[in-house]
Order: sequence, then structure tokens, then C-alpha cells
Amino acid sequence: MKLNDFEQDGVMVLEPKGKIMGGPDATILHEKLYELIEKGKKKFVIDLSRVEWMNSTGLGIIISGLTTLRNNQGELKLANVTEKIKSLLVITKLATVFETYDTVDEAIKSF
Amino acid sequence: MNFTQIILTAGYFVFGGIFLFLAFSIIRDSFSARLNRVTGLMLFFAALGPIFLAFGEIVKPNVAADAPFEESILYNLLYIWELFFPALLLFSWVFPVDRLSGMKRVKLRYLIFLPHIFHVILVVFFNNPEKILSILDIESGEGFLSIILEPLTYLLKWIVLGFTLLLSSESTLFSLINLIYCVVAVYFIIKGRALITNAEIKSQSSIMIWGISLAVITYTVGFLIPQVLSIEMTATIQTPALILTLILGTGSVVWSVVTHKFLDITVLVRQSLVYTLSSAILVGIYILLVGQVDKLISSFLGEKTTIINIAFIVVALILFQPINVQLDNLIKRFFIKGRTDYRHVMEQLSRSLISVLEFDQLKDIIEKTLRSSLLTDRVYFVLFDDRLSEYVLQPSEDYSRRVIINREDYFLGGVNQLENPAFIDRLTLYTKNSPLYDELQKRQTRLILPLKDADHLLGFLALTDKISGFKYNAEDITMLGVITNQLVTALTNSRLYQDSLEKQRLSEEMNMARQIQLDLLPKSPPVSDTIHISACSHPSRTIGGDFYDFIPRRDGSVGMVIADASGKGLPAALMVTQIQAILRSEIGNSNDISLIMQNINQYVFEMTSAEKFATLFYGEFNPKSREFKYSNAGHNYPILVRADGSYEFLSAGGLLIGAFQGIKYEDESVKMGEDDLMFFYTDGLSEAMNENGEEYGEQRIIDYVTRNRHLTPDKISEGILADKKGFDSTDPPRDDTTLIVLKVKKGARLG
Repeated sequence: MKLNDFEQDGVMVLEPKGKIMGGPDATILHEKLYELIEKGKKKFVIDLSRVEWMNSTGLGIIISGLTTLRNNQGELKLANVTEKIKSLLVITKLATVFETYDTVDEAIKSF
Repeated sequence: MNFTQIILTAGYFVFGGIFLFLAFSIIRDSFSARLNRVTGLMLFFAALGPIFLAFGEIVKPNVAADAPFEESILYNLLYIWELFFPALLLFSWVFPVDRLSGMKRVKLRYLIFLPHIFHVILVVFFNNPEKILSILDIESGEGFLSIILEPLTYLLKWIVLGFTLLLSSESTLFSLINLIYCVVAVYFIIKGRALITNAEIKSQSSIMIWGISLAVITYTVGFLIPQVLSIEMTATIQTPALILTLILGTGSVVWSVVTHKFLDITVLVRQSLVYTLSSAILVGIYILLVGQVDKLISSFLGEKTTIINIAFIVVALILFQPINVQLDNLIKRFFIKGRTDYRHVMEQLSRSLISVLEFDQLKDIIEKTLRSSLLTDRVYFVLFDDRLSEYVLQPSEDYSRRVIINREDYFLGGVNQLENPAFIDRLTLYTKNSPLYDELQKRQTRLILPLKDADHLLGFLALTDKISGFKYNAEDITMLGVITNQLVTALTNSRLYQDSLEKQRLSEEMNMARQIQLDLLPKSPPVSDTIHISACSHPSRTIGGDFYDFIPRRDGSVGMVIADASGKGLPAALMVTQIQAILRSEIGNSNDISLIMQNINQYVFEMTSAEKFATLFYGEFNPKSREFKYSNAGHNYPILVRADGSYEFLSAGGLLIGAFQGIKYEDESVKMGEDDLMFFYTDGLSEAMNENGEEYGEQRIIDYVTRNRHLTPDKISEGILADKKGFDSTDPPRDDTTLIVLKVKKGARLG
């Protein structure tokens, strides 16, 4: 998995690419997320357009990121969720917890 | 002089010579050491005995008949050797434990010599009381002087008479005193032996105790008992007894002391032994052979000849070297056992180190080798502990607690600079604010042996001084360098071995965990009149995060749960075990499924981090009403396949559990008909993937189950697993796979 990140209008955008599975790959996302949270960033958008698949470990990272941010009056939103991941979010009912947007811009505007 | 006398004389000389030589060597080696002085003194007096006896043997035949040898000063000086007994007592106060240091009025110890000094004076000067009395027999009655002299003379006469009386029983009296001294000395050595921990010295003390005890017994039987009971003993019994006493008593002391305490002089000792013995042998040969041959030839030729003498000296000169070499080897083998031979030590060590993989055993061997070959008092190990990531000063006999050393300790930096063993004084630059150095000081260590492999400091050995108080010499340091290198290899081996052991242990633990997990799963699904159930679970590793359970309800319903914890392996397995326990207790408390789910979520949320969660499906089948009431917390939708081939998902419920708090859950009821079946699974089935990266997927599952809905639950379960295997043959499977198939029996009537 590769990970790009940039800031736009005070919102951190993370662009993971590939599969978010367990192991060292997943820790890249985890560490980046927490590194930025520690720096005081509160608004995040994760662009999932290039994420082929995510397993329970990947889900865990995003969930814990969201929980941590909400506890600090922050928010994490998802953009460009692929059909596959959308169904995963639906089955696990996480769709009721995450705000999802069709584009990154929409997600940023929503803050 | 007859043959026995010659042998006896030679024997006395050899013994006396060896002891005398040893005494001087030991004292010379370290005059400042008390143990050396006391041992030297003791050996000196022990040497005097045989030497005087030897002189006596030579002088005896030459003394004129009118002046009996027994009354000569020389003969009576013999008693000086008895000072050996107080010296032995003194020795027992110094070895194996020095009791004298730190004692007040330590000078008083010399009082123990008094009785024997008195004895010598008594025997030497008063052996002929009549003579003294005649001197004292001054003409009396010469005026005023006589008034003063007369009582004085009487007093002196009485004293002399008293001494004479004492003299008549002196041998018995002083034999008893000697015996007491011996017994007390043995007592102190036994006491001292109990105080020491060094196994080498302990065994040496035992030898000494046995030797002295046996000597005392021989002495008692051979001299004392006859003395006290006034039995006349013949020389044939007394002489061997005396020799035996000497060999046993002094020999055991000498052997112990030389082989283990004063190793540095063993070479010297060996040489002295070799020269004394070879000289004795040659002199013996001369007296026995040359004298006789000389006599024979002179009677033959009628005149004295010196040819034989010259010939003998030539032969002796030729023989001297080979005899010496042979003797040296013999003595090396029996007496010193190659202790000084460092090649021998290292050969032994490397042989034993190769086969040893346990660290404790390794430590033992090193400790033993250093103690026996170098007489190092104590050895301390500072080693890097992989688990702690710190250096640890290992526990020892005298310090039972291990001490963790900070990796940044300044002294460690100093040790790291060393390439070879070095004295601790060389590292004075690194001792400031170093807790490690303080610990080493406390333990009185002197020598540091760094243990370094190609690029790491594995630790080091810290050695105290030698037991004997001697310094390590250059030869010792060279040997220690070699030992250190061997130890580095052995330690690395041991570490690799420990790693493999650790892995083995871990896999054993995993197997145990798997067994526990298997035990937690139902042995077989419940049997019922109305439904058929098939269930199975296949972990991807030895243990996994899937689980299922069946819980009978009081109203006759069958509760069932299928769950999948996030992650894999042990952490996931621990989590499902917790969830299973909570679920069981919650179900016992409530009939409200949505409340049960809510509580489980709350528990798991509180127990774990947000990253850890589980999907969980719980449902209850009521056989009377054929109703199935369930709640689905984020689990893959189970599929309800009707007898007619239509299907629906069991999706009602709420969020996966453990990630968010305060989540509410819905529940739902579905009515089941004859031959209707429910198919439950975890993502190990749906996410199985073929070589093209295609997933097995929900649709394939729906297709397979609807197509085969007429089969029994067992057949459906087996069939779909086989189908999945055909699709994705990865072994072991990528993810845990759990299946439950529940089918309502045909003809099951509504209650």
C-alpha cells in the first residue's frame, strides 16, 4: 500500500492506494493518521478511490482514527468509496457511522 | 650402616628436603601473605623432624659409647620439630578461612608455641639433671654469703627436681599435648570448611581433614598408646608408623596447598621434587652399588681404586637428565595433573563448550575452569539480555539478585574499548557515575574480560583476585583471552539455541491455545426433532478469530451465535473467548436480544481499543413456533433459503461490536417453514480468492446453497467447502472459515 497526503482548506486528505490489509502496510496508514492527529490536525478526508480492498485490520484503523478524532472534536470522512468497500460498510453497518461523499471536494466542503 | 638404615636415612632426607624446600618456596613466593608465612613455618618444622632423624642415623654409629647419643644436644634438638603442632594449629586458623584478620590481640596467638618451646628447653638443658645438680652443689657454710646462697641453691635444686620429675613423664605429657593440638586443628579446619563455598577449596579441606585425622590416628596407635600404657614398641612398628604419619599428615596438607593454593610455585615445587628424588636415587645407587663393587674390586685387586667412582660419576652425569625428564613426567601426571598446562585447560574447555547449549551450564563450566586452573576466587557475568534489551549482572553465589545495567552506563563504554582482558584499573576514566562500576567494586573484581563478537559487546566477565591473593600474570591473561573467544562462540550458539527453544515453546503454547479454543467450541451441534444443524470452523493459523456456539434456552429455544473478531491469531482468539464468556452470561440474564447485543457491545468497547472489534450474529430458534429471532451486529448477512429456492438476508441489527459505545441494536423475527434452511458463514468463505484475484463472493454462496438446498446440512457444508477449495486452494487458508447450516426437518409440526 502507498500513501499520499496533502492539506486543502485546512483539511488533511489521505490517499491510500492498493489494499489496506494487516501487516506493515496497514501500519503506514495508522502511523500517518496518528502522527497528524498528534500535530493537532482535526479534519480528515480519506480518499478511498484507489483502495481495492480493506480487511478487518484496515477497517479497525479507520474506526479508531474516527473515534480518536471525535473524542477531540475532530472528524474523519470518507470519499470515493468503491462499491466493494461500500458493501462492507453496509454489512458492518459502519455506513451509519461514517460520512461518505462521492468526491474529495464534496467531503472537504462539508466541514 | 645396614640396608634398612640407608633406606631410612635416604627417606628421611628426601622428606625433610622436600618439606624444607616447599617451606622456603612458599614463604618466598609471597612473604606478605599470612597464609604463606604460616604454611611455610609449619612445613619448616615438619621438615626438621626427618632431617634430625636422618642426621641421627648418620651420627649414631660414630658416637662414642661413653657419651650416649640419646643424651647429646643434637639428638635432643630433635624436639624442635614438635613446634610443627602449634604451627599446624596456627595454620588451621588461617586456612581455609582466615580467622585471624580482624581479631583483637592477634599477637596472643603465639602463646600456643609456649608449651613446645618449654619442652625443647626442658629436654635440651635438663636432660642430665645430675650434672646440673652437681654444679649447684656449692660448698656451703662460708660466712655471710652462705645465708643468701643456701636458700637459693635449695630453690634451684627443687626446681631442677621438679623438672626432672616432669622429664620422667615428658614424652607422654607432650605426646598428649600434640594430640590435643592436632584434634583442635582438625576441628578448626572442619569448621572453616563449612564456611567456604568454593568447591575446590572445600574438597581440598576434606583431603586435609582426612589426612591429618589419619595421621593423628596412626600417631596415637604407634606412639601415644604405647607411651601411656608403657608398652615397649619395636622400631619395626614405630618407624613405619612415623613415616605413615608424616606422609598422611604433612602430605595431605602439602598436596592440598600446592595443587590448589600456591599454583604459581608448582613449577618450582615440581623441580624441587625432581631434583631431590633424582639425587636421592643416584646417591642410593652409589651407596648400594658402587660401594659394594668398589669393595669387591679392591679385595680382588688388593688395592683401592678410584676407577669405579669416576665411572659412576660419568654414568650419573649421563643418566641425570633422562631420569629427571622421566620423573618430571611422572610427577606431572600424578601430582600436579597438568593444572599448569594451559593447553590442557583450553583443550578441555573447548571440548566441553562445544556441546553445551544451556547458558547456566556454560556459566558453570567457565566458573569451574577459571577456579581450578587460575584459582580465581569468584567470576561474575555481565551479559546482554535480549528480552530486556539491557545488560544484566547475573546473580552469583554471594549476590543472589541480578542487577540490570543501563545500556548507557559509562563503564560499559569503557569495556567496549577493550580488545583483550584487562585490569579494571585501566578503565578509571570510565568509572565516574557508573552504577555498574560501583557494583563491580562491591564485588572486588580485578580483571575484565570483554565478550565481543564481530560488532557487538555481548557482555563481559569480571574476575576477582586469585584465592591465593596472587596477581594474574601475562600467561594467565593470554589464556583468558583465548577462553573469552571460545566463550563468545559458545554464547552465540547458546543464544541461537534459546531462540529455537523459544519458538518451539511458542508453537507449543499456540497448540495449547488451539486446544482450549477447540474445547470452547461445541463438540457437536444440538440435536432436535425439528431442526438439523451442521457446524464447523477452520482457523487459518493454528488459532483464529472465528467462533460459534449453541446455547439452549429455558423455553426450549436453541440459541446460536457466529462471530468473527478483527485481526488473526492469538489476539483475535483471546477476544472471541472474552466475547463468548460475556455472551453466555448476558443470555443468562436477559431474554431481550437487542439489549443483550447492546450490553455485549458496551463490554467489548470498554475492554478493547477501538481498533479491535468483532462482527457477531446472535439468533434463537423456537422449535414450537418455528420462529427465528435474531440480531446482526455487522456480520456477513446469513442467507435464509426457502424450500422453493427464494432467499432473503438476515441483516437487521446494528453496528459491529466493540468499536463505538452506546450503540442500539434492532432485532427481527422470521418464520421458518419445512425444509427452509439458514446458511451462516464468516468472511473466510466469501473472501476466498482465486489466482485471478476474483473473490468467491456472496453470489457464489447464494447460488451454491439455493442449488443444493435439498441436501442435508452436513452435505451442504462439506460441499461448499470443497467448492471453495477448488476455487482457492491456498493452504493454509487465508482467513478463518466458519459455517453453520440449519435446516427445518420435513414433517416438523408446529407446536
